[in-house]
Amino acid sequence: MSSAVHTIVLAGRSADVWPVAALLERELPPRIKLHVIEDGGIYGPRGATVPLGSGYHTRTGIDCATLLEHCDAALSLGSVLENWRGEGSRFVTAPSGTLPAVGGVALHQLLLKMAAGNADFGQSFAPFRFAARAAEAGKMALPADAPDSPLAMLGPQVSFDRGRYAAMLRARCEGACTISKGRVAAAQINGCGDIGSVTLDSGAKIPGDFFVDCSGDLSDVAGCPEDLRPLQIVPFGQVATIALVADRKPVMPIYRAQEDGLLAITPTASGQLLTFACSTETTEETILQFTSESAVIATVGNGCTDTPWLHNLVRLGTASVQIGSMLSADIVLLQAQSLLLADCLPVRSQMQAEADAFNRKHAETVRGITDFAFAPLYLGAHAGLVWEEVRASPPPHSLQIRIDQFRSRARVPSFERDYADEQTWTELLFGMGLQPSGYDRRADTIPPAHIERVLNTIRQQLDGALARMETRTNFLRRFA
Amino acid sequence: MTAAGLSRSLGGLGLSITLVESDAIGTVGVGEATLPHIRDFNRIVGIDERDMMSRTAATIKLGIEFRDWGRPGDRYMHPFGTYGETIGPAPFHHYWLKERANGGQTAALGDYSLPIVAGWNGRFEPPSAQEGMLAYNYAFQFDAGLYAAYLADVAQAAGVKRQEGRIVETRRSDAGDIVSVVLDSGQVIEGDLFVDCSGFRALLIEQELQTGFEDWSHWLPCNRAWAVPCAIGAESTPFTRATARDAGWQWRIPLQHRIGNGHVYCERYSTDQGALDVLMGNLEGTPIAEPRQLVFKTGKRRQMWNRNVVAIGLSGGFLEPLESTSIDLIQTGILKLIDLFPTDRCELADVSEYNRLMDLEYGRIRDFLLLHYVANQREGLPFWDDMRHMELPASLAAKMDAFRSRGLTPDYSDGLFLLQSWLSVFIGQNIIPETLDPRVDTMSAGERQAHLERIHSTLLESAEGMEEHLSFIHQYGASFKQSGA
Repeated sequence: MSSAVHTIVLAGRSADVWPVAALLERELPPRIKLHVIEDGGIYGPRGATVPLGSGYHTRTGIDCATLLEHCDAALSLGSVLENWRGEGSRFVTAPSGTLPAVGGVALHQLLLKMAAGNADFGQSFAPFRFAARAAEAGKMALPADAPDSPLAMLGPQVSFDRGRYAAMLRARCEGACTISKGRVAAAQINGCGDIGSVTLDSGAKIPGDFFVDCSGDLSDVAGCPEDLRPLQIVPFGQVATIALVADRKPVMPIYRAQEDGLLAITPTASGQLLTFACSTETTEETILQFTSESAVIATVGNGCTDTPWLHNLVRLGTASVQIGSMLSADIVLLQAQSLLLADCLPVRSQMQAEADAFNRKHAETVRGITDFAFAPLYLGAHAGLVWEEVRASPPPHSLQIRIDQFRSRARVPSFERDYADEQTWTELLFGMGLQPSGYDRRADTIPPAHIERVLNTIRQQLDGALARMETRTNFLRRFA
Repeated sequence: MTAAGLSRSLGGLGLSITLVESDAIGTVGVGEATLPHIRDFNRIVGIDERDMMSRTAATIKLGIEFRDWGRPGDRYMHPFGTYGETIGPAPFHHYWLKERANGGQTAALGDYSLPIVAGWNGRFEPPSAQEGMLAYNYAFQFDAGLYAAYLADVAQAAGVKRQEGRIVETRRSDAGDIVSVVLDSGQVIEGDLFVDCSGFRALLIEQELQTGFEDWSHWLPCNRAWAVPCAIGAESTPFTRATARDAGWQWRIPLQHRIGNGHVYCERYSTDQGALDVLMGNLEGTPIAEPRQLVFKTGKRRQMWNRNVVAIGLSGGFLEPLESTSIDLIQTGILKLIDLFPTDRCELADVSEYNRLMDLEYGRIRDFLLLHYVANQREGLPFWDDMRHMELPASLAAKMDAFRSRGLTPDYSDGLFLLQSWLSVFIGQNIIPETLDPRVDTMSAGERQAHLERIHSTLLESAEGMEEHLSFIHQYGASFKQSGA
C-alpha cells in the first residue's frame, strides 16, 4: 500500500538548501508541508553568477529589483576569461541568443567562408558578438526591453554573495515552512529502504515522506552508496574564498587562469568576492598570495552520481555533483536540479518512476552544464602543471563530439537540455582558439556579394542597437 | 528525393550528381501520408506548396485518427499541434486529468487541440500563431509516385544527370571505399560519395560493405502489407485513419481524387489471403487498381553512413507506416547529410555524428510506434495479446512507467514525435496516470473549470471560423491538375 507524500524534508547548508526550498514553496500546494533543516551557511565558493532571467528566477517569482535590493547583486552581460590562451590573453564569454541564419546557413559559417585564407577570422567575427560587445562597453538592458531587436539576444546575468542570496530566499519562505537549525546526525530507515525520519544533533527527530539532501550530510548518515564517479577534468581539490570591499571592482565576473589554479573574481554591488581554486598540493602560502589572510580555505570533492534519487531521498547540489565553480557551474546546476525536482515531485511513497525520470533528465542536465564549464579548461593553453593535467585528461564524450564537430566544420551539435545557445558555444570555442578546418558547404552556394550585403545590414543593426543601449549606471537608476 | 535535396541545397558548389535509376525496378514505397517536417524539406528544396499539391493530388493532413486501438470502439487523433496552453505550474494535461478524476464535465482531451477540433469538423486554414493554443502545423496526403516524379523534375532542372541502368558491379579502392559502380550497359560511373537509395536490396551499404542490420521485428513484427486505391466513398478528411484489425491495422489516406488503402499485418497471425480479404472487405469505394503486396522487415542498418556510402530510405531501415514516418526518415537522412556534407573526404567525426543522430531518431520513433501496439486492451486476439505482453525496450518501458505512475511525458526537444504526440497515444489508448502532478492543487476547481471551458470554446470558435477542407484547397489554387493518375 503506497502512502501519500505530505511532508518534504530538505537538509543542507543554507546556501544550498534555500534555492531548492524557495522553488518548492512557490509551486507546491499548502497541503504539502516543507520542513527545512538548515546547517550552517556556506562551504566553498561564496561568489556566484547565474542567468538573471532564467527559468529558475521566473518560476520562483524573483525579479531583477528583488535581487538588487536584497542580495547586494551586480548585473553584467558576460564574464571575462583571463590568461586562458596564455598570459595576458583576455576573452569575454557572454550568454547570447543565436543570430538568424542566412539562407539556412548559420551566420558564423558565412563569416568563415568570407574569411577563408584570412588568419584573422576573429576580427571579422567580433562585430557580430553583440552580447560580448555590450558587456565590454559597459552597457546593460533586458531582453524584454525590446523583444524584436538585437536586445532579445542578451543573456543578462546576476552576481551575488551566496550567503545574501540564501538569506533573501529564506525570507521568502519564512512562515510558509518549518525551519530547524542543526546537523543531521542519524536517519531512521524502514524495511523498504526508505527514510522515515531524521535525528538532528540536538536530538530532535523530524519525520518526513520525502527527503532532499542538498549538501551531503543526510546522504552520509542514511548510508547512501559512495557512488560519485570522478570527473577527471576537475583538478581542484581546495578553494579559498574571501569577500572584499573594493573601490575598483570589476564590471563583470573574471575567471583568471593562474599558474597554480583558477582565481574567480565575482563583483557585487558593494565589493567583490574572490575564490581561488587549486590542487590539494598547493601550499597555504600560495593560496593566500591570491586571496588574503582572512580567506576561508575548504577542501572540495570531485565527482558525479548517476542516480541522485534513491528510494525516498534525492541528492542535489554537492551531495550529487561536485563540479567546481568555473562559470558558477555549481550553483547553475543547483538551480537546474531544483526545477527538475519540482517537475518530478512524487505524490506517494511508491516513487520509482519519478526517480528514474529525474535521474535520466539529471544526467542530461549535468552534461549540458559541465560541457560548457569544462570547455575552457580543456581548450585553454595556460602553462602550469595543474593545467597540463587537465588537458591530458579525456574530455566527456559529448564535449569531445562538440570539439570534433567544431574543428571539422564549425558545427555546434545540440544535445538535450543544453545549457548554452549555439551562438554562445560558437563564440566560446572560437575564443578558446579552436580553429575549424572547414565550414558548412552550403555557405558556398550563396553569392559573396549577397553575403556581404546581409552582413553589412546585420552589422549596422547591431551597431545601432549597441549605441542606443543604456549604460549600466543609467540602467540601474530604474531600480533606485 | 535525395537527388532533389542535394542538388537544390548544394547545387551551387559545382557538384556533379548522377542518379542511377532503372525503369525495370519499381518503387516499393507505401508512403502517401506525411508529417509536418515535409514542409521544411519542401521549403529547403524550394518547392512551391500550391504547385506541389496540385501535381500530387494532395490534401491537407492535420493528424492521424486511430480507431479501435485501445479497445474496440475507441477513437482518438494524434494531432500536429498542442493540447491547451499553460495555465499553471503543472503541464496542461494534469489539469484536464484532475478535472476528469473529480467527475467534472470536461470534454475529451482532443477537444483542447485545435488541429483535432478542425480535423473532426473537416476544416482547415493555414496556422497563424507560432505558439500557444492556436498554434499547429500540417502535412499532406498525396500520391507518393507523383511526388517522386515531381521531385525528379526538380532534381533534373537543378542539373542532376539521370542515368538509366542497373548496377551490376561495385569497385573499391585499396582503402575499402567505393570508387565506382558499373552498370549493366558496361558504363562505369565514378564518384567520391555514394548515396544508397536502392531500397531493401541495400546494394552498396549491405551487399557491398556488409554493414549489418539491427532486426527489430521482435518488437515491430508486422512484416507485410496489401495496398489498394479505391474511389472516394465518404469524404476527403484532413487526416489519415489507422484502424486496428485482428492481426495488424488498416490505413485510409484520402487524396483529392481517390482513397489510398492498405492493410499492414504480421504473417505469423494472418494468411496473405486472409489479410487481403480484410482489406477488400473494408473499402469505402470501388477498387481502382489491383491490390499490391509489400513485404518488409523492421529495423535499421547498424551504420547509416559507412565509409563513403550513405544509406537513405529503405536501404537504411524501415519502421512500418503506422505514423507516416517513411518519407520523413528519408528527408531527415537527406537534411542531415546536407548538414554534414563532406568537403574533401568523409571525416570520421562527421560520419560518427551522422550515425549518432540517425540512431537517436530511429530509436525514438521505434519506441513511439511500439507504444501503439503494446498499449492495447484488445484481449483475446493472439496478435494483440502477444503485443501487450512483450518484453519492451528499456527506453520505452521507462517512458510508459513514468506516464502511468505520475503523468510524466517524454520531453526531449529534438525529434520527430515530441511530448504532445506521446500524450495523444497514452491518453488515447487509455493509459491514465495513477497520480498527478501535486502542483495542480494550487488552483481551485472553479479556476480550473473556467480555464478549461475558455480554452474549449476558443478552439471551437477558431475551428468553426475555418474553411471547409476541400474548398480551401480549391481556393488555394491547389486542385489536382492531372487526370488519370
